[in-house]
Amino acid sequence: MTNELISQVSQEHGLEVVFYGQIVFIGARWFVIIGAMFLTLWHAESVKAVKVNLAPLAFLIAANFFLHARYLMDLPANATLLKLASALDLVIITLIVLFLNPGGLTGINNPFFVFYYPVVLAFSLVFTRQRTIVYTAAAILMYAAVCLLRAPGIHLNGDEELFGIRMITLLGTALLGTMYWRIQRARRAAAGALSI
Amino acid sequence: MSKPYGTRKPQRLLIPPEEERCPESSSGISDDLRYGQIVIVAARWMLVLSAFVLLLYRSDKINELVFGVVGLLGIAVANFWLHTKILRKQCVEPEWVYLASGADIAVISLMTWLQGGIWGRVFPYYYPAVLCYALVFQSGITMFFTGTVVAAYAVLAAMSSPPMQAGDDQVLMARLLAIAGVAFVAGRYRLVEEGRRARIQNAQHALHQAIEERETLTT
Repeated sequence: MTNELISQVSQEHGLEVVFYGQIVFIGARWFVIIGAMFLTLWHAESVKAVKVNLAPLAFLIAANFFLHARYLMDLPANATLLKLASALDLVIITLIVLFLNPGGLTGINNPFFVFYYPVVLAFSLVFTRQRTIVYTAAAILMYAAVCLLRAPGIHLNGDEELFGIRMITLLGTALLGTMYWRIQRARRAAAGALSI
Repeated sequence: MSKPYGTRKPQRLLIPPEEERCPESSSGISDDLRYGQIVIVAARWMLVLSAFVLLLYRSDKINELVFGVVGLLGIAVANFWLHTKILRKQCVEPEWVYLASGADIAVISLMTWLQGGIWGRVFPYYYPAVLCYALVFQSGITMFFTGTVVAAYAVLAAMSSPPMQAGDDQVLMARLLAIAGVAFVAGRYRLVEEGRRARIQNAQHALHQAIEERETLTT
């Protein structure tokens, strides 16, 4: 009986964390969308390029409208849907880094890797530390693959330092987010305990 | 599969109430600042350690090396002082925390400027620095700090050496948008947590009232 109660409370707590936290996901995704739209339309030169760039973005915009509307209607997305959406964020940002090449800047020189930071931060503020580390590792691996496979690659002429700084700061962002999440969890528990 | 949330071991409180030497009522320091400043201190240690390693690993200009080492040493000493204050459960005045965060931004900006503005390699350090103060400071202060960071980086980019080329404005906009995005996400989460704690306290208060009313009725 006690175990069942503990399990039910745990599940409810997990759902609550996901429900309250999903607004930060939605906010982070709007920033990625605004950034990508802005960068696609600014200096747009060919109709074909704009169409190609907008196709994945349209999907992301529709998905975020759906999630935002559910949030506003107090119908939270479940954790699985949120994880899927987060995975989609990583894929879209990686596609942006792969195919949006301002001034012909590709691979490690592409400047749009910065969009990884808000989505990794949002994930770390909602999910557990283990899941955050897995998610951040996935982001790092995807970005590393883009840097290695796309020209000019990573050479030992300063590129490795550039790549190192980016990965350290991305990992730092995730770890600091998860550290704050744990502090807040302890504060909530303390607030409940003190009141009792 | 990881353990469900409720069955994890209880978190150690950063500042247990009985050991609190400066309760909020007497010092006027917000709870967010008191509990969150350890995140800022941790971020600063990360910045100091990684910047020091990278500085020694690849520094070809003597000015950059000297300014870098002196700047990092200054930050490390200040951070040590803040960290010991937290470990000894003493209060740090909010002004010092604001000043330290401002100094972080100033050092990152100085390094960016020394490395040629928009061509600087250290600009990603802005992201953890921004996220930390946005998680801890009040919304108005966060907006002021973020506005300052965005303006400072835009000015540094405009002063780049060699100057920015056509198309680099896109690069600049992407970086500034990501800074604003990180600040927004962190600031919004702080408000979400504030609301959740308020709801818990309200619910507990209502429960206490209901119990008291019931006890009064039965007696």
